[in-house]
Amino acid sequence: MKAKQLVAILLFCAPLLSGCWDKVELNELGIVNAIAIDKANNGDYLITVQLLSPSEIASQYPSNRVTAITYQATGKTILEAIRKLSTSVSRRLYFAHLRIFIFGETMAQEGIRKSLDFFYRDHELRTDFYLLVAKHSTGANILHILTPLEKIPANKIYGSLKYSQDNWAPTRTVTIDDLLDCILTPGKEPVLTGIEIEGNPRLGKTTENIERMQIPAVLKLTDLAVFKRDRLIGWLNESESKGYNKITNHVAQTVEYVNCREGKATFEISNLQTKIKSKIVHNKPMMDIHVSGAADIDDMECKLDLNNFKNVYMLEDRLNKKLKTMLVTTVKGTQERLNSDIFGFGDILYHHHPHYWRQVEPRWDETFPETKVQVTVDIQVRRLGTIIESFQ
Amino acid sequence: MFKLKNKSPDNKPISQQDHPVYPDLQKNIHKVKHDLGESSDLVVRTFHLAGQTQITIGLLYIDGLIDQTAVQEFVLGSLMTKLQNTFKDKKINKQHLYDFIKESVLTISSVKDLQGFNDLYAHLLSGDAILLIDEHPNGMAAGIRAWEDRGVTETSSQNVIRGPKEAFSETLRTNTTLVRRRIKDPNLWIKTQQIGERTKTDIAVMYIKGVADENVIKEVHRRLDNIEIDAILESGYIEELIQDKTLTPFPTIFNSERPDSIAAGLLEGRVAIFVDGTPFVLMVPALFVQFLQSSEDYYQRADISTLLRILRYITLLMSLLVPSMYIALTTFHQEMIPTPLLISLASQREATPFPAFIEALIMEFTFEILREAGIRLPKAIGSAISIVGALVIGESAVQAGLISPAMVIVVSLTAISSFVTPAFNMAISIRMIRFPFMLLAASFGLYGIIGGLILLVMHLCSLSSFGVPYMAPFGPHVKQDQKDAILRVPQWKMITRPHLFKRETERQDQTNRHHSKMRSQRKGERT
Repeated sequence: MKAKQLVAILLFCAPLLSGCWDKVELNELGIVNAIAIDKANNGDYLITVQLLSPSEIASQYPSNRVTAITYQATGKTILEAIRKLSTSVSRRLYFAHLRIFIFGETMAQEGIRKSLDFFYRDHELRTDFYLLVAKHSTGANILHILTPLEKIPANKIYGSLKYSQDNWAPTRTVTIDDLLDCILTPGKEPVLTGIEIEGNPRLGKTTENIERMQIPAVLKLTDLAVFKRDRLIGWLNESESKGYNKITNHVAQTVEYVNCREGKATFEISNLQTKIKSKIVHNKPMMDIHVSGAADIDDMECKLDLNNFKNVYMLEDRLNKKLKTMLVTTVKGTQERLNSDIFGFGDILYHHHPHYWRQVEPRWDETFPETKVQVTVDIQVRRLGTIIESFQ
Repeated sequence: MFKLKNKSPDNKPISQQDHPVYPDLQKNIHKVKHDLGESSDLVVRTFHLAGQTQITIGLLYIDGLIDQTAVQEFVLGSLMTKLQNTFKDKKINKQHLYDFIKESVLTISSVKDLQGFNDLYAHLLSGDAILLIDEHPNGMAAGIRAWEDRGVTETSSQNVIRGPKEAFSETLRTNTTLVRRRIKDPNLWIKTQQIGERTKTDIAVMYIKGVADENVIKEVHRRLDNIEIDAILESGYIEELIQDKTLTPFPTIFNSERPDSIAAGLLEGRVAIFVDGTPFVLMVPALFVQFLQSSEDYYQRADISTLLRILRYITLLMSLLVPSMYIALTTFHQEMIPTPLLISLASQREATPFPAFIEALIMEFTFEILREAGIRLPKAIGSAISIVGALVIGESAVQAGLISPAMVIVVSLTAISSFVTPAFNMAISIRMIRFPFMLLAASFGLYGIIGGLILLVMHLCSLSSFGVPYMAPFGPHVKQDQKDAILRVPQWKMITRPHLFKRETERQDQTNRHHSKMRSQRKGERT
């Protein structure tokens, strides 16, 4: 009986004495919403974290204190730098709600692989944050810019990245899973969306940036940064970025215009489907890119009788040709200027012709620029909009 | 405590030492008066039989328990005036007279011979009039019981929108009548017995012979016979004394104040136990699902009822888990909260002094205090509690900086959800279990909650009520009974009785149904 009582008492004490060792109250958390990694002058990592100030964001009576605060620390390793931050931050840094991860341009040029391990290994981080590269800037500078519309700067970037990928197409949302997949898969190279400060960065860091109607410094997503393995080697331009997204089948919707007689006709393209097939011709790889989709006429500047189907077909034909040129130049440009297989042609070859891939894999860097590409575009015009002829 | 385990002869009540009625009327009257301690409500009337001064008769009754007019008209009236000429000039044999009075004079339906003083007291105190004839060693009890009662009133604790509004009252006979009126079946049997050494409370066991399981009926009687207690004042006494397992927060005996739900239970093959003096009737076997069902479920359309039942299951889980989930998520699993919500919760917590667990504990505790106070308060100052309550659990507590607004929502949500459960005893057990769950959540997070849920389900599955598994028809899974568990299928689909206590399985004549179906099909062909 005594033993039984003792066991009962011990069992009762167990939950109380465990002391809730990993319990953290919400007001003890420093919610990290964005992080930037740069190279410090001495070659160490320079970590910049952007913490949210919940009471300012959710308050019904906002004061003029800022809604997010950045802290910086340097360290030989990522974790060392992060732990060093505790000397300046009063709260426990909490990374589960990380939204945005920015590499400084120099950092990216020197290689990002080593810095990624911690973020993939640590259990606290989720894998759904987006990675970007700062263009002509350090990551830290990007995080210092105040954003007027969104109270949380990282949410501004997150939002525009998502919206822009869905509706405009030159940007790309890349999670850490995607990035590592591209780095580790032979015959596939990563890209990341760039971000730059447009305007006056010095004013952008002050509250003036959120007080003026015309914003002194805007955070702007740019075109895609091309990597080779884990090093940044160059940038695509806007047309190439759009082309790239189309080839890799990552476009939900985009807008494209063609010239008609005295103006331009703009199409909204949707349901884009890209299929890539590979062939071996004369022991040389050849990629067959087929794009299909639907287009609606959204904006028409010239006087063209659209009741006449011939005219519609004419526009459709021009659109197809334009897209074809865009895709061909994208591939050509990448092959000649950057020589990085961001389209994953190598990976496709590996899947379709594994034996051949084994032969070319060691010299893929030489073979890739010579890979022939055949593009067919089959976009069909579906709707003309609510009016037929343009009013003139 | 009430159970008289040691039956040593010296602590036996006086009334247990039985003694036959004396032939001497005065001696009898003296003994009754003495035994009842000269209680003021004992009425003793001695009189002579009509025109026969040599024959003295004593009438004893308890004032207030009998029908005064009946005494005057059918007892005193019959004996003192109507017999004026019957016994004129005759030599009267006392035994003959006794039988004559019993058989021919008293115009009362229930007249019984007394076996002795114990029997005399039982009848006297139950409201019968006792007739003792001088120089005759026997007496009779005339059943003219009548007392003030509340009458059949509206339900007060188990309300419905649609359905009968009448509720049981405190009188056993009224209660059995209410059920009898609903089931006019000769197989509806009632067995009455008295329990309670002092209270001698009438307990009636009611069932439909042939529908209820014989084993359950036997078991009910066996358990009732085993009760040894001095007093039964409410059916709760019986419930506690006959339940299968005492160490459980869950009720394993159903109670209702609604005649219709008891009638429905009897028709399903359950056994009802009526206790005199309370409007709450017990019913066994009771299943977990039963406590989440309202009699209204069968009066509203099937789709409405099914929806409402699902709602009740959800709210049951909510009243059990919402505070503990809040604690677990905000103190251990912040990654599971969407960022905007996390920010808003975090900003609310900036200025609150207590950890989430303590905060939740304070609020839940306060709510329980309010609930209890609301029941106990005199009606006149009832509105005061709602004003104070709104201050303690509400805006003021938030403004005072003691509690975060989200916690107010959490507690209020839990409070409302717990009142959705139709059975109060189930709702309150769930409310009790909520506190250990909060402790588990505060020490182990979701891990603790899941652990607690596993233990809870294991415990629920280990329960049974009069041999029927408590969690049926879920565990064990009974496919046929799913029709009336979470779902409530339309009446025309409820063809069989619940599987677990069935005798006569079919509720509807299936051959008939088949015909009507065929007929409608044929009709369909014609049109």
